Amino acid sequence: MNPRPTIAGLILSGAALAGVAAWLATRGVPIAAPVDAASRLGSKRETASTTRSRTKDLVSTGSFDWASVATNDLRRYIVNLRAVQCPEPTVRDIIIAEVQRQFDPREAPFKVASGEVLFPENETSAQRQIRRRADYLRRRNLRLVEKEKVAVIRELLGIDLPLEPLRGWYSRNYERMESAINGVPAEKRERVREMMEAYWNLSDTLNDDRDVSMKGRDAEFIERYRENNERRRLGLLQILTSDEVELFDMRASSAAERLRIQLGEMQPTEAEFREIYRLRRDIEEPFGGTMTVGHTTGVEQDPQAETRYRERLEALLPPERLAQMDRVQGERHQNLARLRDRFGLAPEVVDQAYELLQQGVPITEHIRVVENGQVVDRERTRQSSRPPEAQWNQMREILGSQAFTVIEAMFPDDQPEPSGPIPLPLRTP
Amino acid sequence: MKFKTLLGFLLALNLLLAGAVAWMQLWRGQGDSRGLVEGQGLATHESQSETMGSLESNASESHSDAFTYRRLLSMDLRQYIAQLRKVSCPESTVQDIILAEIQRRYASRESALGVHRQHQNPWDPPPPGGGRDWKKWTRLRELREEKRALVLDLLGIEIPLGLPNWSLDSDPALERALAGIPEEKRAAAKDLQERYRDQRREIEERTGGYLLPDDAAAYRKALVSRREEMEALLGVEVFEKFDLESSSTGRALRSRFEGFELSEIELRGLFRTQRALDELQVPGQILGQTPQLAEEFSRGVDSASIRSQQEIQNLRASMSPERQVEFDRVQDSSYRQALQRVSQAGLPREAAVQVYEFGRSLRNEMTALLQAPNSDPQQLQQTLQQFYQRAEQRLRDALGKEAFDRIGGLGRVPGIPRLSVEPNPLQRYGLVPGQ
Repeated sequence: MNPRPTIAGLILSGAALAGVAAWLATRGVPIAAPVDAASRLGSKRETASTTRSRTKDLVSTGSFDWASVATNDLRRYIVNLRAVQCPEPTVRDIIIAEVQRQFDPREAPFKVASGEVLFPENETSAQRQIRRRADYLRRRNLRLVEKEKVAVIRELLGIDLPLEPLRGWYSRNYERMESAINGVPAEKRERVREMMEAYWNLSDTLNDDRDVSMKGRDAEFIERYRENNERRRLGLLQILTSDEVELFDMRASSAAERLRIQLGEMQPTEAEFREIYRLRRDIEEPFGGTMTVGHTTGVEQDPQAETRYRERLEALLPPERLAQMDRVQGERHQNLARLRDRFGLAPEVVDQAYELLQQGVPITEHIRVVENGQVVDRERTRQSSRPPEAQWNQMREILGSQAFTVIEAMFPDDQPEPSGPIPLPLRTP
Repeated sequence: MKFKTLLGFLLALNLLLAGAVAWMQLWRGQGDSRGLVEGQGLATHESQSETMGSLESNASESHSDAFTYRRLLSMDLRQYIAQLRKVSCPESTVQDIILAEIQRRYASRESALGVHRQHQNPWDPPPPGGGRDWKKWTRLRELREEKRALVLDLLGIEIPLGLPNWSLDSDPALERALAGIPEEKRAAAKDLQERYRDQRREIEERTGGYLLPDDAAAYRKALVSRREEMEALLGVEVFEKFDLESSSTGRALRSRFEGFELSEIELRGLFRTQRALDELQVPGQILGQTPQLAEEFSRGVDSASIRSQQEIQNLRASMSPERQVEFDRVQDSSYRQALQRVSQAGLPREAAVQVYEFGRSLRNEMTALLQAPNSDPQQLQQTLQQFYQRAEQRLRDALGKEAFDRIGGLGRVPGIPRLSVEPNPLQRYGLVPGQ
């Protein structure tokens, strides 16, 4: 038997097999190619991690397309987003923005254009009234569209989008009011907002009636004002607890804001503040709102009101606390506190400087006054604004040169007042 | 023998090569099928050669290999944006998502500042001086500017600062002036104005009218820097028109010459010199200056004041005599008040001159009455009341009843004191019968 053909065949097949092997090796495996040789023989875990990295590469090469989830049907859009496990806050962001885009054309006519002149110069009070009312109606129309938008979002996402309070057409401190609304528990906020908007509407209508009648804030006005405020209070009590209503009132009240500034240095406790506020409110806001007696026509402040307030304070606070309250409300202490904040002085410096300033010396002055049509000479005694020299020098030491420079200007060296008033020129009111 | 060896060798070699090819082919086939599964995110039937473990891991891999949004998420917002764009997310949606994410990240930092009242209790100590807490306000502004810069960097869009609009911030004159500049510059102009306004307010509240030299220097610097930056933003011409409308200098100037027609050139000339003077002013007294510094400052104010006065005189000198009379009259605040009163009553401008001249002569007559020596107070009181009644009638006759009623009577004429029903008017005015 001739072995030559067999040998030739084996050589040929060997060459062919070698060629195939070489081809397979150089072509590679686009997806399943191992990162390294070890992973080829690695465990299932290594293979799985390799698989995950291959998956990421797939995302980055665009195997997923946003077009597969986006749609004009917002309900379907939400379903699609949730199906790809889009985080819920992001679902809300996307959908709310889409809803806003749909409502933009409807809101635009009621929003002020950036080039529009809002406040014409030299307008009369009547013109200002008309402008404010028209502006309110524009904002109210915008609010109707916004409510529709909020309803759509509620239906789609089950959430309530908060709206800013719709301001009335008379000016008031809306920033304080809005803060009071935002300080209410979140789940009650929208109802309180609606309540306050209705209240402002009633209040502004009352103001309009007053302006038309030109009777000022007379007894009839006060009665209607009182009724509005009582209605507001009862309405709030249906939404909030009585504690929450009081806290809301304190945040909205200008009397409370003044009290906060006056008593700040005393650092009242919550309980003290609430009690003092209740006493103060009865004097400064006796009609249930921010209107004071001084705003009214024909109503006088009860001359005993402050006396009664003082008596109630004395019953409420221990003597040392009351003394502290008196001290911090005085102009001297307030000026010293401002210096402390401005120059970073130590807290005890205020008390030390205050004690020194209290050591002013008595000054007797001769003055001329008009009594019952007669010019008479009188004597009066008052305390000098500065203490004697030794204490004044001590103040320089504890305050430091910069703060002392300011104190010198705040408390000038007293001179007795000139005797008698100046007869002329005629002073006009 | 040789052939047998060669045959044996070649056979072995062929078997080896065939085995290698078979192995490589088998390995490649397994990779293909897995890739397909990953690409389509579908579960697949495992080949029989795979173990249960592989089946489970493959099943879990197949399930976890399905696309989820979480693969796009990243704390790095640039990466997040890149991922969103790679899956062809519309640019408007990219903006919606990223803007909301940025808002969320900054919201917690802002509420931690406690700027807003709802984050404070009514019994908490108030900000220093009882006004705005400027440290917190400044920090809030910084956070908002940081946020805005971030949005611009990531998305290439501008968003407003959106600082809270507190009641004391309302400025109709500024809004009117902003409406007159190019729209694309309004946001930047408003930001600049508000930033420097806040700086000045902080100094005013902190110093309470008592400024040290550093405070005064900082205040003046804020005034000058505002002007320079606004000029750079708007150009000198446009800014000057803007400032004339919105600044306190511009408003005071327009109020001072209300009712008098000034050309734009005339108004701008007056405005420039007055602004130069106002930029030297501070809200209160400056304490603790060295004598040299005080002297230098005083000279500066004097020269600016002289230049401003000179501008007014030059302007007056260039007018016709009739115009000069009107110009002098309009400098009197009583005339300007009369103009306003007449305008609000819907009366013609000429009535203002009538009212003004009447008020002037009446004041002179009243002064002469009150200066009469040795007048009995009771008698003087009676004389004044009679005088007042006659004056009312004279004004009614001069204007006509309708115009008189629309003005509101003699008591509403500027510069005329209202006589009360007090038995002794001298008490109100602190007057002493001729000494």
